[in-house]
Amino acid sequence: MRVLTIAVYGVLVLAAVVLTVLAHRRPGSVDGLGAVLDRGLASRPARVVVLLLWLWLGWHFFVGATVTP
Amino acid sequence: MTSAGTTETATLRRPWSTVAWVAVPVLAGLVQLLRGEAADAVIFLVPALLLAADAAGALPKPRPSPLRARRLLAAGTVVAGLVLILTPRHGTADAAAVGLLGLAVLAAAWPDPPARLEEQPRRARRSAVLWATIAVAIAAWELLAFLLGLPSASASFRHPAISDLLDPVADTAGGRVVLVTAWALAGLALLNRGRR
Repeated sequence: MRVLTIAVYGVLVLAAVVLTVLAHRRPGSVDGLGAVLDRGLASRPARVVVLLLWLWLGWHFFVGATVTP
Repeated sequence: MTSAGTTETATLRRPWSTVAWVAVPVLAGLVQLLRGEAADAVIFLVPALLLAADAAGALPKPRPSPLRARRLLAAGTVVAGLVLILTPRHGTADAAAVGLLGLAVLAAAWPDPPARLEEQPRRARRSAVLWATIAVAIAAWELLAFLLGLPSASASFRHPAISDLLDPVADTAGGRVVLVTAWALAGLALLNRGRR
């Protein structure tokens, strides 16, 4: 079960890599993450929430309790 | 029409979008309460309240943040990264670095950039859906692993959350350098997104 759980994380990361490669190789088919963020983060709620998630990752891994004891 | 007015018009035209975005920190805050991490819950729920109040028109219009402020924030992100690398993990210095950086970043991110009302081609909408699907799938799988791992240590081993996998890495000096660098670079990239 542990292997399956980790494998699904791997598949999802791989999907992001595939989209990124596709955006570079066939620019007319799909946009890369940067272009999507540029459009999406023009709105305040999206911009604040995405930066909040980034900040929390820093807090979670380096300041607060990363794993439940 | 002013740029702020244009943005308000765009927001009013898509109220579901604002509700969906505000729901993200609300749900994340509730998950943190489930984890028993009050500070983490506050990090999500206070900005969620501010966003909800802003959407209801209860907050004053902010002034645009100057380019110089964002450059200072970029320097602040580098300094915070160095503090995270050079001081003991989970220490007071780490809390101060991330906490102060967080307040400054959110204050700078609050004002809207000059609005660009442009029709989005079908490709843009399709791309947004594809990337959002991956992000939501990662969050959902992480949450499922966390919930399945709650009953016991062995259950947590069978269903590791990303935090369980990366925590031992962050405990090593080299691993922390890699993770902090990746986190800081992501932040530097995000600071200017949406303003191009």
